Amino acid sequence: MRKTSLIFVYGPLLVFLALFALVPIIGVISSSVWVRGITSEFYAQSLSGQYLNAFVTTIKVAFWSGLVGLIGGGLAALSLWRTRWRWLTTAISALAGVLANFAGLPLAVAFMVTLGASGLVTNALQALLHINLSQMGFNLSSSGGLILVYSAFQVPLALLVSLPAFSSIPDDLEAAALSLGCGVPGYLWRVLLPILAPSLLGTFALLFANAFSAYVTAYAIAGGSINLVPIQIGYLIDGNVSLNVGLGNALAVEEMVVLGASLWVFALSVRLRAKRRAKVKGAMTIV
Amino acid sequence: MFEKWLYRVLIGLFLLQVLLPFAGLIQFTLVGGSGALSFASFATLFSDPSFASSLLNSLWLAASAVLLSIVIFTPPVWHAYLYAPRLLRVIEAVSFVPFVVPAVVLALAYVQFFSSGPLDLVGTPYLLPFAFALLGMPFYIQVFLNRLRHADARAIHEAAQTLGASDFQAFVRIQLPLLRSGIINGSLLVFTISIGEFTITQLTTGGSYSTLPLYLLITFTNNPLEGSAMAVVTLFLAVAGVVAALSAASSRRRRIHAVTASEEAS
Repeated sequence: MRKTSLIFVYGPLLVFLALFALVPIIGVISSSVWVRGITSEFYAQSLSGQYLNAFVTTIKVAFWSGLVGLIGGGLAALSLWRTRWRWLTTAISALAGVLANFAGLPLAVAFMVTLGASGLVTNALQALLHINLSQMGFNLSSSGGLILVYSAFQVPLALLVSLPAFSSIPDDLEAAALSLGCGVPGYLWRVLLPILAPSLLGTFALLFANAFSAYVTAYAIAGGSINLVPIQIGYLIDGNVSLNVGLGNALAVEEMVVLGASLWVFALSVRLRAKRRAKVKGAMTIV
Repeated sequence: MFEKWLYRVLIGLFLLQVLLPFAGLIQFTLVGGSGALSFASFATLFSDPSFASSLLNSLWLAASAVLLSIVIFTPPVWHAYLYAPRLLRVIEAVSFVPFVVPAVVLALAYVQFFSSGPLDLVGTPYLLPFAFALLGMPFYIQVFLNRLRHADARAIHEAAQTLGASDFQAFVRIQLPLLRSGIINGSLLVFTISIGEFTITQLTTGGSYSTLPLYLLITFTNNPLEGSAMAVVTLFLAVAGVVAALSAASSRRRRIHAVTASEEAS
């Protein structure tokens, strides 16, 4: 192909990436450390007071919703894999694919009308069992409430991501373990879990990143009453941009560092899994 | 026996946990107002002129984002897959940018970069199709690559060239029809993402341009019943997109299976 036609093939993509990703993001990074000279004041500001609290809350929500997601989704994936119902696995993965992408407004609205202050389940519990959720300290816009809401997309996402790891386990592994005198619980706990550990860690890292960057769900449910990093960045944009651009940029860079690190762990686990699988296969052929 | 039942219970709990909020949403929309089954909330919604205009805005934005994705991503991914595998790896890695740079950070970057000069786009909807295409990029490229790998595009392209077609001719007349299902499935995902996008839309236009998600939140605050009816409609649109993509993929696979089976039989 001639060089001129290569420009038509790759040119649009290059211009698009430069204009809508590369240059704006470099702008954010550079103006987080530069106002008439190099400065670290925005980072100092972003790691103190309410902004530091925002990091603590965001990490808390991301950690717990990730853990709930990992356990719930992991157990569901294990069950699907062990029951060997092909059609059910296909149907549930399709369902999980749809649900994992509903970390948006419909989900927030669904929770508000179900578990909100005058939601259906809230009212039903009050009327039927005389349980008052808000008197018990439950509040949908608290961090505990958000962890519950986030689980609705974290669990299906964990199922989707961990299912391939389960199905990559060779069938004769169980037979080998059982013939060596290991019961089913022992097989699950002492053989399967160590093999799957890197995949599960990677899944957790992905879920953590997913919750750490979630904005819409939290914004719709809690608005200003919960202090999260993405919400703080949103406020800095929504308010007056010229007010404190540097601070917003510093928060954005910190957010990208956290996400980058989490996704790096995820990518690492995927690579490790491939290596591990090759090793297990090798061991099986020796056996 | 005990083990089997344990797994069934776990699967049941999973379904209960993920479906309960949506069951609650649908029940609220249908019986939440009067306590009796009624479609009044949908009637209110569909007779609301602002709903129609925000739906139209969303459809227009989503269609533009799809068009942009097809034009910008298809040729380079195809070309790199055939001729430059190392470059393809770079494109794939770069396509994951939206996972590291979330929508709220992109919005922050855009309000600074597009607020002055020749590209003064903040406050207008013209920035949005590009932003949506960027958010959909990893999904479009993965789906399209999947199709490329399954379709044996390289061999078919070489055959076309041997028969005297130019690269351009072969791309337009042979490869595009061959890869159509990948392009359609990728487009459906970009469409679904665009229809549901809230963050960048709200933060870069300041809420001045009403799309489905923006109008949904306003409506829900003013009239929860109409708002939840709208959530059901949005949900339905998104599910339709994903289901269409899935069934297109599986029917394609079935057809290929049928073809290979009949070839083996003959």
